[in-house]
Amino acid sequence: MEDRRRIVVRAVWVALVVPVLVTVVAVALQLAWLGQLPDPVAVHWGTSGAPNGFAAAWVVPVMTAATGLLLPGIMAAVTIPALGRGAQGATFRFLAATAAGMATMTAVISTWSVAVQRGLGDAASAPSIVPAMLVGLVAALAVGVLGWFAQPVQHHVVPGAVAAAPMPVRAGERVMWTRTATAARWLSGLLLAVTALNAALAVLFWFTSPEAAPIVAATALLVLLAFASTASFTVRVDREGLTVTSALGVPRFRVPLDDVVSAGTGDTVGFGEFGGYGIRTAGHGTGVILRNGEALRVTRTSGRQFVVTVDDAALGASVLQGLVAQHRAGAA
Amino acid sequence: MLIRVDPASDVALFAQVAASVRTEMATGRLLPGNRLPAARDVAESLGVNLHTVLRAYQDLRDEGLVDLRRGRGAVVTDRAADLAGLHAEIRALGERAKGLGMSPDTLASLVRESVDG
Repeated sequence: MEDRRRIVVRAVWVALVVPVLVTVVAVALQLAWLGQLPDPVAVHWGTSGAPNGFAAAWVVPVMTAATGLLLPGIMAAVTIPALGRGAQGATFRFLAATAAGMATMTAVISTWSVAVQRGLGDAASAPSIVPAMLVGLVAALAVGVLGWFAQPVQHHVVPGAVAAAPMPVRAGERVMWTRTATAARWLSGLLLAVTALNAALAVLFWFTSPEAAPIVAATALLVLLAFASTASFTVRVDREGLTVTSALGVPRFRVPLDDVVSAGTGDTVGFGEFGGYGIRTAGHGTGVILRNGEALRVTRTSGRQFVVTVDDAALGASVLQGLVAQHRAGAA
Repeated sequence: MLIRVDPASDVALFAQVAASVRTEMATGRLLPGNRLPAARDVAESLGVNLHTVLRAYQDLRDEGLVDLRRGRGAVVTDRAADLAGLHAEIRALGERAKGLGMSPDTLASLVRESVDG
């Protein structure tokens, strides 16, 4: 448990303390220089290297605070609580390091862009932003790498399935178990938000650049379809084995009885085990991961697992074990 | 939800399907508002005739335990909660009868007579 504590403490430093510190320093510098800046300041540079976007000087520190804290904040919010619950994996370590790197990049580029405009009469004469971007990128990489090595090695924990006691099934008896697996509320909320954003984008393009609108609309539709197909699955255990079917009919996964070595249950943290949610493949197997927590785990003859997050998984696993035993007894 | 049938049993298949659904209601695994799996899927899973499953669902409707609506399938009614309310007492009675060495059939006929009388 000493290990877990160390992992969490280091993750807090890398994913939370470093981004906040770096952002605070950047914003403080930018505020201190406010009086020496032209108004408006340059905030955007074209491909030629000359500034082509301008805004009031106070916009830069506000944007720095927002971008420096928001994305790294989300990464910290995903990483730290999961680690606290005992999840481990390179994904978490990487995400924490990325949070530190991203905050550094934002801080360096924005502060540099302000620093070079001190004392200018007109922001249009601001020098190229390219050096700032290069230095920002190098600094971000350096901090990211440091952040990675500042954290202890996290062994990807492949959760073992606790094999279920087989439900007694007599020869000739037929049993089916079925249950609907639905996405966690936060996940479906996120999917809805992204879909709405896509739709809004499509409408916006319709008015601003009609030639691109069909592509954006098609993308929005594709994303919507992808989300709809992963929002809800029917999980079924019967003489065919385990079948997991999307509410749309496709995709559909099947593990036949012949392919089942054992069935059991085990909790999952989708982010740590599979690097995310939805239909997932990782080194140890395939998953239909719609939430964290209770999951039905089937170990296949290949040694790989099939994992689906479903309520009442213990009963499903027990039925599957019973049917496998019946099938083997019949085949012997 | 769990459905099990044994073709070797003396009890008709449709009655076994209906009994499985009732057990799910009594144990609280099937709640009012839940939808039963489509009859076609159940028939396919169990390898029984579609009409066997439909007959079971119709019996459950006649008992007021499910609503059958075209396009919506079979939806569990509030009466399923009554079944769940009896569950603890039925279990206790069953345990006692087992302890006394009484056969399930004897117990069933005693219960039936007490309800009829």
